[in-house]
Amino acid sequence: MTDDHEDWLQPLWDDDDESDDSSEVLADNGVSEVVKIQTPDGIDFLIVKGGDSGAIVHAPPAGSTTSPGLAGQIPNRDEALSSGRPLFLFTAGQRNHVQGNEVLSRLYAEHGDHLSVGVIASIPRHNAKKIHDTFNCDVAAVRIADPEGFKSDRGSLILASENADDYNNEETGKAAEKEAKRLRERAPYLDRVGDDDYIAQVLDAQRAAGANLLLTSGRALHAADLRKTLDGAVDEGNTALELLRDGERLALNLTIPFECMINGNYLEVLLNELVEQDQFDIWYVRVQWRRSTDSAQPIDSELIKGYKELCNLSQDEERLLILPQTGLTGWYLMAHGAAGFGTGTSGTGQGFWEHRPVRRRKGATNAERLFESSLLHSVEYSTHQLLETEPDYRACECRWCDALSASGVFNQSIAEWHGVYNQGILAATISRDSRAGGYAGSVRRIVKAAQEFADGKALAGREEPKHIPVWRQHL
Amino acid sequence: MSVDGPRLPHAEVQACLGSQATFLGGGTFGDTWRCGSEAVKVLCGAASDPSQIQREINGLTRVKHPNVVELYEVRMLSIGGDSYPAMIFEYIAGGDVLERLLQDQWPSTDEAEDFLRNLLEGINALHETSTIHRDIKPANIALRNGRWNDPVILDLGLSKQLDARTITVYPNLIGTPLYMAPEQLRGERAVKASDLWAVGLVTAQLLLREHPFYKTGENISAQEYLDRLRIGPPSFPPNLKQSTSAALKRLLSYVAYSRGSARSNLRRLSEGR
Ligand SMILES: Nc1ncnc2c1ncn2[C@@H]1O[C@H](COP(=O)(O)OP(=O)(O)OP(=O)(O)O)[C@@H](O)[C@H]1O
Ligand SMILES: [Zn+2]
Repeated sequence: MTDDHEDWLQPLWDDDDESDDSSEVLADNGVSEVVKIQTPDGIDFLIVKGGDSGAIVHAPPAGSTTSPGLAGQIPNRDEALSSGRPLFLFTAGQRNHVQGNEVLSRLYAEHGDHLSVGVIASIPRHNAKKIHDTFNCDVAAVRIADPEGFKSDRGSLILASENADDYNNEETGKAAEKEAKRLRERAPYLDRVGDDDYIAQVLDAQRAAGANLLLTSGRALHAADLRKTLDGAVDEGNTALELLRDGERLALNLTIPFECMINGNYLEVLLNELVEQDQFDIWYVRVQWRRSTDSAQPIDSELIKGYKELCNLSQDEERLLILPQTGLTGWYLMAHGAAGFGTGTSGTGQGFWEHRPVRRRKGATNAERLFESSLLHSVEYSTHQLLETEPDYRACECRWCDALSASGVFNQSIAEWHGVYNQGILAATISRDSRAGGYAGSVRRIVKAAQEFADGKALAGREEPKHIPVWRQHL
Repeated sequence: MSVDGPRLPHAEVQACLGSQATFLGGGTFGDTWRCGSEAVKVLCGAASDPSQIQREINGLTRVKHPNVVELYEVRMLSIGGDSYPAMIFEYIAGGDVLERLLQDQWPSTDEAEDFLRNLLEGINALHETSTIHRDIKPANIALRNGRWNDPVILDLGLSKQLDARTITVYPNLIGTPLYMAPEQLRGERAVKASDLWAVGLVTAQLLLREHPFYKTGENISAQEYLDRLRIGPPSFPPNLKQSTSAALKRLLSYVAYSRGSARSNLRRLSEGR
């Protein structure tokens, strides 16, 4: 996983042109792998490896291998949303979309009984091709094109400035300004907030992108003006409901500043409104996380408490709560009633952090980190190699880890795919092991095991999974 | 909380509605008369613009549910030479909850449990049409055939849907503080959960045989009263089903969202939790 926030400027955007060095390592001599899959017409084949990963074909491609097992029929959007299975939402971000499709189709083939799969792309941050590639995945029952309306109305969020004058480094300032312009080219509605048909524009942009679950704009709530901004979001939602066409579904998209989530009074206003406005059966909620420590997950107990309240409420009131951009924290929150979470390969995909420009020391390189399922945490590759020698260590057997160990060198991109794949498995596991105590029970067991694994290992600084004690406190 | 006598002369009303018309009581917006199988609410507050009132009433959502009084029609009545809008409801024989309280008549625990569930059913039906009642109280809950297990909600959301500016209201009668939710007492807007508070409060009162937060004749400040609401209700009779006392505690949560919705409370009650 990339730690974006270690870069000296957290990007406003996900760069789609970034070079990718994983393809060579993952090259499989053109041989693909398929799994049988049930379709309405009979049995077809789902490609789980190779260039067409994610596609369903009538006959296995020449030279492909067929893995054992039969994947169940892919649910439609509404089936996936009402299944009660964890909704795992892969968020576009990485350059290598083939790998994204491979991760998702593998997860579906292996764990589809316990997992619903979806994809999220960002209208401002991703170009049309990336969105198309991300959505072009047969196992994804839910497709979300996030309008990220908070980018036009930042409310009390802390985002990188789009004004060149705010930057000490001239080049960085120029780049930020250029990107701000690019966001608006991709998402013209960002500059149309006052228009009569603003909401129609926001919905149309999502339709054009091929989304099958529409969102309201997600303009940010203000802590200082919560009542008014919340009313605005609800009004917008009501208008959007009126504009829905046959078969379309809408989620109320809320972007919440950190302050509103940790302050009891704000939270009360927010939750009262969510219960009251029962016309919205899906909540798509993004909370900006405060950067206070070097933890990879938020460890503010008040934040987790606020989230827990929100999650419990969604479950009690039978509304679906989707938590985009939350990664492992979103996974954890399924214990409390969230229906699904968004994660991705980049830091942005896994958390919606406050912006903080950090100057990178000259010559510093990206940390080489690998996600350890047994720790529920990413550690440096060197730490990983030490952990591997521990008697209670359980090695990941995923295809990306195989590739890593075969090559003998760390590869950032491949490590990221291993990370996403393992978060998917974790999501499936909480459903599979839910017999005792439901999702909360299975999460509690996994988190406890992670704590026990961490105990007695020398994990200091960033290597220490600091979020685990906080999570346990609220389980 | 009724005014003593009818605002319009008895004889003039009978001249319009027929000699069998009897006065049921007066409320915030007007007087209610019984007329055979109908209850006729004459909106006799000095109306600035009767057609405006008529339009507002016509906008009232019609809810057809056994636990919500049925509104048959809205008509202009000519009484004593003046024209008044009137709402024609089904007449619910059996009296209202307030009368029972005043006569020291109380339901059994089982009856109170049925009362709660069916009242919630009625509220749920109202809420499903996005109507907030805002003024649930013993006088607004009739008991069909005098049976505790068949409560019927009267005055469907009138207080919200009628703009107080279009009709003269008796200021001392607007709302009944003793059944108002904390947020209403604080002057915030009523929400669906405010109705749930009142449902919980009336039912708690039936079970405890007294208002859970206020003793008759007591003189306390609004702040003191709010403080009591924050502390929560006293404990309920031990023979009450665990799911019912849990529901009442939830409905009497100081924080609105913790009360949940009518629907989720009904679901939990049916699941026995
Ligand atoms: N449909 C009905 N069937 C039987 N009795 C009714 C009906 N509607 C009203 N009543 C009775 O008539 C009386 C007066 O009712 P009305 O609604 O005018 O006043 P209220 O409920 O006391 O006050 P408010 O209007 O302030 O809520 C009450 O005692 C009520 O029980
Ligand atoms: Zn792996």
